[in-house]
Amino acid sequence: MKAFSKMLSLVSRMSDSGEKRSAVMDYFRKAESPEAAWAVWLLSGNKIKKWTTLRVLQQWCLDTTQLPNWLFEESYNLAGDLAETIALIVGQTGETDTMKLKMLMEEILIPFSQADEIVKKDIIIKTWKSLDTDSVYVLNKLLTGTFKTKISQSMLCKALAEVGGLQESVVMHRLSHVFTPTEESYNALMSPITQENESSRPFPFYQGFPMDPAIQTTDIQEWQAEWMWNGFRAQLIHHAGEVFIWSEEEGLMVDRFPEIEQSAQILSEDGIMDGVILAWKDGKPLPLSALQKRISSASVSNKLLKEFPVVFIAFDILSVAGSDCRSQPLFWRRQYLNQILGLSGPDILVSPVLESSDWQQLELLKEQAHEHCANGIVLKRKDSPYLEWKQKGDWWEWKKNPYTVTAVLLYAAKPRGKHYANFTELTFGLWNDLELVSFAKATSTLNHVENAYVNNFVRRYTVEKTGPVYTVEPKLIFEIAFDDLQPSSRHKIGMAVIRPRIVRLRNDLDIYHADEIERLIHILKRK
Amino acid sequence: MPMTDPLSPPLLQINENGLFCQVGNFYIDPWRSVDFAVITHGHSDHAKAHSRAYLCAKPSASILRIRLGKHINLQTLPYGESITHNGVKISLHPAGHILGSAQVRVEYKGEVWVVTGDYKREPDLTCDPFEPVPCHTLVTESTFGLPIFNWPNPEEVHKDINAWWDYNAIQGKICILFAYSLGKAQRLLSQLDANIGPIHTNPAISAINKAYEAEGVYLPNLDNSSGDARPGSLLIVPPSYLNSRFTESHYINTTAHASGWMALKGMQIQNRSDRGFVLSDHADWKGLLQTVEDCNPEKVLVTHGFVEPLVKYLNETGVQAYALNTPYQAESPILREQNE
Repeated sequence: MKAFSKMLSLVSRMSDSGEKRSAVMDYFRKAESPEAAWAVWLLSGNKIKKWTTLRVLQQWCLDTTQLPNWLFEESYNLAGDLAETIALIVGQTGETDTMKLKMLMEEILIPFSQADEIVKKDIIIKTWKSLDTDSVYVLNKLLTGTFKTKISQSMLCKALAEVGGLQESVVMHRLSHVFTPTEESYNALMSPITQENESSRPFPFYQGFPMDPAIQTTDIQEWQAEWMWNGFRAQLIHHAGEVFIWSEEEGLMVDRFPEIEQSAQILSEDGIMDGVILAWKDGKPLPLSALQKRISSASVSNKLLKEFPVVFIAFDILSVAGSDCRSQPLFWRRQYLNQILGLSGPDILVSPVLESSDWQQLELLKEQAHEHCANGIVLKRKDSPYLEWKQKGDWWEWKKNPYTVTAVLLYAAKPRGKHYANFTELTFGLWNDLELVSFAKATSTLNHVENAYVNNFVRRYTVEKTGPVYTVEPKLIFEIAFDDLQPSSRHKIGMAVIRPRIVRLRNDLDIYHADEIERLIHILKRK
Repeated sequence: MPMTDPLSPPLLQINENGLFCQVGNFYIDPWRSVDFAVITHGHSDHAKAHSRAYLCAKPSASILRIRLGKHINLQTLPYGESITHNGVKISLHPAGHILGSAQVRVEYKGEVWVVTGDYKREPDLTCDPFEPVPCHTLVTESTFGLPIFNWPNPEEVHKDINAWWDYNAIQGKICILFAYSLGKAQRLLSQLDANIGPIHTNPAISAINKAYEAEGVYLPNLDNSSGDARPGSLLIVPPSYLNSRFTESHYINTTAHASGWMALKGMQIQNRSDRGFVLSDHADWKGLLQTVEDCNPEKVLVTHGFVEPLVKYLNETGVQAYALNTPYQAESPILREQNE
């Protein structure tokens, strides 16, 4: 357990992915199989039932240490993380840690998850006392369902593959089936003997690059334009009567999208298609948040299937009947895609080609992207092969211009746990009748001169300080850009602002130039 | 011990020059030049130049001469021995902070005050261990005066550092370890495994090393050959070298900080080095409370660090405590350690 927690703690502050991977590999090289099995299970995103909340853990921590709450809060304010604060206070610093991850999971966390609060409290306080600080931190995260790591599925697979001397896709494929955290499963996962059904794997995903303005000087007829779908990039593989969906981010996804799998079963030929998964209802895409709800749920219930159905929007075909066709030109592949998908089920669609005779017309179309749940337009050279992802040149992403509003700074805060920092956590407001209401929070991307200006402003015009948040006099005006709006009941103004960011300070304007909430409502309605 | 008279003026109090003993007419770690300064240790926020006479613990002498000038008027005192200055008995006792660091015990008419200076309770091969000194009034530091600061066993930390170096040496990297040139650097050096590779330091650290070696502290041999460090070597440099031309020029390198602040993940990230080792020369939370318990004072004065929380906590647990305000107080405790 100690080695596992230490590895996670190291990885959490590494930025270089090569280093992270070698830390993960280092752990698996030294770990015993029963421990490694649980580590794989946890790192693959499996979760235990949530025991309690961090605030309850805080209370247990106070009860066992007899520390006053104000002193805990003072500490929390410095550390900036509740689970960490508790870990630093109760974690053992001596050589007492003999707890195994397997023991923690199998003898404590799983059997007692339904126990009474009193029993749970006793168990956890006792367990804390047998763990070092890093392990208490991991335990706190597991207990509260907030366990997250900086180790992606593909990094885990790469690391395991290297440790076991296997191909990465073999590990990914094996991990795609339900992994039971036992010694036997772990040994099977790392077994050098490859089985037959492990052969259906995706190609590297080709990536578009941000639009180069020079493209607009070329002949528009050389390009195929499509929506830049705001979804989940994936390859759909139909192989020997089986269907596999490989997401670009998360690898093989099993049983997550039954409707797409069923539709793909009907395909007459084996093939690999590149495309995007979107939540889709009544012939229209749903916002990205719908897809996120669908994906974030551990199992796909009937309710979820009904509420957020998904489709696969195919835009390319990479292999036909077992042979790689990536070197064929795009227009050939597109024709073949249309042909092969003529025979699929209803939940696989072809990404439509956007026709326009000149660049101005296309640019106007691009600004309507949000009505199609897209971020803009992708241009693909019609005679291009499907390249490996590192090569630039054939796909260009032409993003829709963001929306912008003029807003007033209402609140400012420093990032928690960062005492030197500038006031970079800024909250902005818009007019609602005669009142300014907050509508978006953005992290400052200003340069250091402007940041210093904001710092001075906050110091001078703070009217109230609540915890880390400084309420300032409404005086300072900013231009704020954002990508999109989504209806949201959690937000006071009834909508969530997607990716708000600061464009610039507007010292030349006063607060009566700020926009009204009405403007956002108008944008939302237009969609 | 006799009880102190509540009506008499305090034996030590802050004035514009520093912590002053009026009856004895001397200062402890003054921040301005004075006639007679008792110095707890050589860090720059405790030892200021230009006083007319100094008193320090014997092992601290060469450090003070490096820091304050060769020709200062310096009197030294072995640990545990005392002198009488204007009728006030002064003795110095090991504080375990760095080589020569001392707690100052001041006694007048049976009343005893102890000023800890900076101290730690963990073992350190480069200095004498902290000795609790019973007193009526204890003046304690509080750099890490929050319950989240609990130091891991330093032996384990030193093992981790060697393992980190060994691992990176095999990868052909140069390891850069940031540490204050006085104290932390030598503490680290004393525990490095010189079999792993060559060790380098910058000139400021090398100068202090000599003072340590003259006091009989064992430090490993350094590679002082000119030219760039070879892959596999370890460099100890002050934190000010971070993001300087120096670190950039060693392009295949990996960096680490060794400090108590590394206990906080957020602080590790802000420091922008690749690793953080939790190794402090200050007392942790338990160390501070243990010291109050060991010295069993009637009154505690808290300075240098998280003053408010420690004062409040001590009072709530039945120990009479007050803040002792110094100019260092206003600064963030985080800045303070970096000033050393």
